[in-house]
Amino acid sequence: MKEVVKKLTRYERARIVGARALQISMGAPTLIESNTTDPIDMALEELKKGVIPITIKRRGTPR
Amino acid sequence: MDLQETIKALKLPLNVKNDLFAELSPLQLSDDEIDEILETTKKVYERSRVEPCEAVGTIAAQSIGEPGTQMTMRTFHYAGVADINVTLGLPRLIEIVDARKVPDTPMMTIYLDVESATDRDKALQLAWEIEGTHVSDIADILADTDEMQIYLEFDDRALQQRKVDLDAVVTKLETLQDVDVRVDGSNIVLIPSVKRYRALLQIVEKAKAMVVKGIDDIKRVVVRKEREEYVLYTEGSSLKKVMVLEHIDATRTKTNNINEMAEVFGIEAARNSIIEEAMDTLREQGLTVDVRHIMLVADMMTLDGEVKQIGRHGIAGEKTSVLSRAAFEVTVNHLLDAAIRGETDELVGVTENVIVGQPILLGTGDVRLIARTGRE
Amino acid sequence: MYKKAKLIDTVRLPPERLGEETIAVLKDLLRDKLEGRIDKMLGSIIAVTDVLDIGEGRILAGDGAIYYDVTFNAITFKPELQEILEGKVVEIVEFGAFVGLGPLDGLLHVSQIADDYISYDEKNARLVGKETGRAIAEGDMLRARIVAVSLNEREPRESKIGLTMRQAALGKVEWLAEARDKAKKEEEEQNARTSV
Repeated sequence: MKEVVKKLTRYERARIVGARALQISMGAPTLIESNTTDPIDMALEELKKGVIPITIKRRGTPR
Repeated sequence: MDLQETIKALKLPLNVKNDLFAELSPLQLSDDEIDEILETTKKVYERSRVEPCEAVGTIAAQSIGEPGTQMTMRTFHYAGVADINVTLGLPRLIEIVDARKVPDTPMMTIYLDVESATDRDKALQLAWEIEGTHVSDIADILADTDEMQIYLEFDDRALQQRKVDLDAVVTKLETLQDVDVRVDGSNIVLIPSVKRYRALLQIVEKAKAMVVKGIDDIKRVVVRKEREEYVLYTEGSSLKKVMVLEHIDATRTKTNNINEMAEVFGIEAARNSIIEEAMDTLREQGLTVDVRHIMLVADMMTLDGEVKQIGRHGIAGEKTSVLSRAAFEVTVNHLLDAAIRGETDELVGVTENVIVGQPILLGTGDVRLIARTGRE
Repeated sequence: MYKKAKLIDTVRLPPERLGEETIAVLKDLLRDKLEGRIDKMLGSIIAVTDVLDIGEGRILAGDGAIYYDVTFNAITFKPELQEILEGKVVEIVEFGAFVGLGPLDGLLHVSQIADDYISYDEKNARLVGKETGRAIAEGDMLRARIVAVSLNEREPRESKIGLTMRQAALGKVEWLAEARDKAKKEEEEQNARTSV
């Protein structure tokens, strides 16, 4: 299946970073090497590199 | 590449494209400069757009509500037309969103067609034709209690100015019941068949209020020159009767009564009228509100094909969610009715979810995350 | 009755286990969650055998965990009324015998053992019939019928199953064998007599 990469809205960005940071703070293994110890910074770095294992289901897409 | 073609290919609204072309074509710019301008335009346009999940309703409410606190509570004279008193400020804004059947001070703005617009005499003539002329405007009414008669002494100048025909007045007066009408030169004598004091005074009042010319609802007409053309402002509103007159530009003539606009021109006109009236009211108070907030309100008020008020008897009262309605006004009644009818609340709106303490479907609350782990 | 069932349940995958292989973790979590649990409709869930589908993992607000709707196969045991089962006596008490029926135990009350006066022999931990002299002790294999079921979802140990052996073809397996032998012998004698 081809994935359509679209720009994230600011809400989607916030939600993804928030969820990922919470995962990291709760003990999820990180996916990049990083100097930071702050889960939010780490999540932001992961987002920048595009490695966060989370996708978004937009409204209107069939379940 | 041709400028027109380049602009046409952009993913922008038509209005923006037209503006761009109009602004850029007279300037002699290099391709690089044009590219930069178009890039910036695109960026600014993208930025100005509302993002998905944005709480537009809440933002609109705040954006109109805050300036609303700075508005005057009092009614003032209309800035330009000194003679006509018009509700302005907060009372007017409330009037608009409440979709009152008749506003406090109904008013029409009548434009003339191309051939008459610059003609002062035609404008004045039309003004007299429209303004409701009562018997009391053109005659002194005297009640003679000795003879049990009423004398109407007509003012010749007023008659001429208003182009009122005495015969027409006589025919009008003859419609009064139990009264004998006699013409005596330029005067008219009314002789009631019942010789009683009270009946006499009643007839005086009736005669005074009688409309001999013009439109009953229109108390006064003011002619004003705006730029090159003459425009009529009326105190009182009666669009239907004005629309059929000659020399009137029906495409621009309007009233500040939104329900009347909806009735005469249709719901789209009413929507535009709401936007225009609200923006004018705010602007007159020196307040600037983005038109899109007002447009949202106007859309909500008119989307059913009739003008609905924002409030208990309109939009807020027609919501499907019980909790949402109960949160607005008359809480107990809504809950009681819903309980009697056995209603279900699907919890799809914002208010309901706030009440039950769930994430709302707005902003980050409306983003569904799916984990990408597991099978790819 | 034992059953193989295809079930769907929501499983919470905690973030600290995100690094592991998803399906294996989910199976693990399902086992922890379900095995040994009792459900009114399914009975006792004995084992989660294999995971068929894990669906989409949802991430909810305020929790770093991922929730999966997992489809899986499981083996269940549900005691049905009137069902006939065989089981070993696990304990003898004054008022009857507890019979192991797999994941659950059933109670065979003294009044439901046989058409006899049954007394409790405390010294030998046995239940003895006064007229027949037949006895039941721990470890004996019994065939009984379920006559009462009361499952408790919250406290599986509080679930109660009532048994009876006071019906034809029920009892200790040895008694049944005896009865069969006796019937066979009688039949042979009958045949011998008629042939004469």
